[in-house]
Amino acid sequence: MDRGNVYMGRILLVDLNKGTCEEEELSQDLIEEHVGGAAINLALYERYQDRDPVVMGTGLLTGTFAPSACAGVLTGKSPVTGRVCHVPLLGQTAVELKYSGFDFIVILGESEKPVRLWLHDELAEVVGAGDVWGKDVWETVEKLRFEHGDDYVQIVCIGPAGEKGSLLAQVSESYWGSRDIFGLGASLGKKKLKAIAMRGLGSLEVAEGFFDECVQLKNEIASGRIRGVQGLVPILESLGADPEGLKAVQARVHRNVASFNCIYPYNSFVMIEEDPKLLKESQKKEPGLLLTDPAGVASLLFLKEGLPAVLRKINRLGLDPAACGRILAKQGVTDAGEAEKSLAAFLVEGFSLDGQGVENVYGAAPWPLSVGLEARLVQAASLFSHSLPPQPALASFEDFSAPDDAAGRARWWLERQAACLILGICPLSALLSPELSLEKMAGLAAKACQWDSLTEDVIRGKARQLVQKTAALAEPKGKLPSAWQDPEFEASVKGLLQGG
Amino acid sequence: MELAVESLKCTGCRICEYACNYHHDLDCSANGASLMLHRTEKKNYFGMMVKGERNLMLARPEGPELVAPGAQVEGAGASSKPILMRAPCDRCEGEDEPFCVKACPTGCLFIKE
Amino acid sequence: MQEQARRLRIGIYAGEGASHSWTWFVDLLERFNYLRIRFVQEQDLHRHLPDLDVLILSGGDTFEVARALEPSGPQALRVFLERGGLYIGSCAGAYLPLNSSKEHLSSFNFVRAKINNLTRDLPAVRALPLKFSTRYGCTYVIHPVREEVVVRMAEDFPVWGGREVTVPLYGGPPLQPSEDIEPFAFYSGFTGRTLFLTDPEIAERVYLGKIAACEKSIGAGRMVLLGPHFEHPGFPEGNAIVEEWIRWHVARTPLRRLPETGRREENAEGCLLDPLLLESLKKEVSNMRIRAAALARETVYWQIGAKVYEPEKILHFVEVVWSRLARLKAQRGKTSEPGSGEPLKELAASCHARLRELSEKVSRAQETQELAEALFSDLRRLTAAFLESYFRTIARGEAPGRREEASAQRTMHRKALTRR
Repeated sequence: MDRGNVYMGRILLVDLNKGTCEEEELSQDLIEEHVGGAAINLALYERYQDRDPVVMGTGLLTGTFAPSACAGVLTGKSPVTGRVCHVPLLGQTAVELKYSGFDFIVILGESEKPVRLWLHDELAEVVGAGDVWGKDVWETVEKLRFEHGDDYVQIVCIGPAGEKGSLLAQVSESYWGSRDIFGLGASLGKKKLKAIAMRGLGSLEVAEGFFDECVQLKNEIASGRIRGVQGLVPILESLGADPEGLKAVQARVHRNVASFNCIYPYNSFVMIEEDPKLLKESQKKEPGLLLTDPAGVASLLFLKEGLPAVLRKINRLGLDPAACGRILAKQGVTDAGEAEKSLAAFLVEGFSLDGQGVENVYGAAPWPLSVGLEARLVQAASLFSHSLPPQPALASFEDFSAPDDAAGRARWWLERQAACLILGICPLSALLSPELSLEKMAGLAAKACQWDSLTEDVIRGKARQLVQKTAALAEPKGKLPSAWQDPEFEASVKGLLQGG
Repeated sequence: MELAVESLKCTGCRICEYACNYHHDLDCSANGASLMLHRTEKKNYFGMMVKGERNLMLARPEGPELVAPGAQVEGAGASSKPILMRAPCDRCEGEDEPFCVKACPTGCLFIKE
Repeated sequence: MQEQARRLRIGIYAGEGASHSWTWFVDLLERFNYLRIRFVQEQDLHRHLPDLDVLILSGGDTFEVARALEPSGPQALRVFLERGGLYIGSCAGAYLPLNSSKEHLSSFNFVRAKINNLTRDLPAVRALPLKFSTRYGCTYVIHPVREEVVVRMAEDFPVWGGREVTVPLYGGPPLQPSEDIEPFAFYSGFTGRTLFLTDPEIAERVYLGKIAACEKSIGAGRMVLLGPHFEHPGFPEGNAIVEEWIRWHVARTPLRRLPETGRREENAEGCLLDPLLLESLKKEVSNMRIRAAALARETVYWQIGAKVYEPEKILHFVEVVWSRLARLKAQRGKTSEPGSGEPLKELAASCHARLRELSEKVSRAQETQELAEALFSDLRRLTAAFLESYFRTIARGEAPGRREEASAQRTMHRKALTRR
């Protein structure tokens, strides 16, 4: 197995109590046992459990030529659900992390004063963050990019919500939020870790024939189910989101953007104070925002034309849009201005869905669109973020040759998420393209690092193990929505998590 | 013959940079690519910059622009030697198809006669 | 004899007037395991020469170099040659010692041979007008071609005699035959990648059959003048010819072991393997590298002297340092003499601060001409100071130099000609 084709070989241990960093080798043994991504995150989480770790990790294939190989994972104990959870990082941050020289970062303990991490060229520095603590997400991103002189610096950070310990706090990738619905933003806030900034100018070796094989799969995906489709709106449309709300959003869409090496561009930029048809660079300082969050956008569709402005504010504050949408809807807010004002109240310590009397899934916002049993089962598992659809989009379960029964489908979704988060393949892309089969992903993984015994079965096994082990670490606190509270349902969830 | 870009088809995924670098340097990275994505993220303004042998081609969304490095500086003199950080696009001489064209998921890159 | 050659003390001019091609010589020498390299600034050439066996002067602004090396440079150079020193001059370094009546250049009249690219009447330009000619009094020095040229080595040149090789030309001279020089390479043709800036007939008249590389004996030493940049990293054959020439010089010149001056310079500039110094330098240079790489995506240029400078040039110098710095591994127990690492750290810090100011001004579309000039000068000095310390470290065998490793080979593979 050729580790140098897929990893930099480095784990960074950040001791926030001491303000120091230490490096550890990413050993062949660790890779052989856990492969990568969420599974190695979990192993590291367990090893350092007493220091309340948050682990940011990259998948085996993250940053390589494999189609949609952009995914990283944040693993930690959710202050919202009480469960250990894995949140996908789907922007450019995981790629940047790996190329900066580090495959995994383990954040231990708490800092007395606000700090941030600066990772570059295999160097790691814990730096005081007094200059950005208190700033919102956008201000923080801008300041740090200016500080380091490069707009390509990738930043994972928190806003005022995380700093204040609101349970609606969301970790943000650059300006545009993330898939964090489990309050990891508050975890980082408690640790007084304001931001992780990274710039990766490193490189990976490439196995013979790997590039061509990746191109082949890319062509299959591009000419497959997603052909001729672009953006976030079609995804939500296929999942039954409100057509009027979607129409209002689509009317403001400028251009669609893909994450690193993603075939389908599921991020849609909407213009707020600018003409969506404008091709030249806008003269406005902040003409709009990038919609990246399926659940978040779906939750806010009731605001219709007001959605983008409100979501922008939510992103700036570092809040989870799906949870915000639920609360605003319950409060009967319909006006964008009103909504923006209400958000200020969400920035207090311990602010939660429960506290607002809003139905939730062990504290986290439910997927906002109506779904079948299988989707409710995976949400109740609360291991992987359901800010991604808890079912396929654009394509159907049948297209994926998924099982016919709800439990089987739920298992399918969990396994697919787990496998993607181990390999570093975008789990959202994997819900759109049946061509991106586990068999093909495994084949590429094996070829990438010349690891012949890494088969589809092995990966499936690791995926199952990830689900079971993560679930076994902690029980969820909180409750399910009343309509879900049913012994049979709860038994099914248990069965799922125990590998049934 | 030169590399051309249908800029509105580009989704900013950047795999072309890595593919190009692979052709030049035989590894996976964006450092040595002949093309670079220019992006103003907050304004969603982005397009490829292709380093040609004599020009820099900016594939702006509103239309391409050719920049001749240094031409605007009057009186600039002889014998400036080349910098070697990024090789200019050689259309992947010796390969069956340019790597960036091969890797692009939207088909926005192509060779123009 | 190879051993003898490797003990040569080589000085590379990195002072005012030098562009960036001197760093190509650094790569070449390191690859061939010539590690006793010093870096000479304009003000201390005359002090260094007594302790050097070889002086290398590559491309840049000939006039600037001449001006900077006065008043003590010319005489020191003569003494150096008389006692057996080897001077290798490529491009500007080849123009410098040619007889001239012009101010500053006239102090460096070592070689009578005349250039064959001088004209009173400027021919029509077809491409790159700004690179085609330079005024020289009431005449012009013209450069009818750039990029690749073919040269034929003279029969009596060792190993390569009679062979044709391709080398790059960026304004270097074609020389007419002259009694005081011995020619060893002739321009013999052009390739599909040769860029013609004017009518090919003119190019043929100016170059073909004329001297591309030659020697002149002066005292016990000699001057080797190279028109094209044989040292360019994309041309391994040219590089090998340079190395062969150095060995040939050693074979023909009794290597008088001059007494070492006895200066204990072991830790004059800090020990690069000192964990604290190394970490501090790595952080500073890595931060510069990131900022410089971002700046290289901007379409901004500066005219300094007669040349156009691009942001990529900043990154070039930073990479020359970074590529070596990144590979050094700190060794516990290695400490610098107190305060000795400070000059290098300070130089890096001030360079970084200048670069930061420059990139911030560029992002605000403010004027940066003076700042850029100061920065490029700083970069040159930082690179030279770092390399000075680096070569001292690897010459002592305390860390590996860059031999033919896989990554270096890959870099050679990709360093195809760039055309601007």
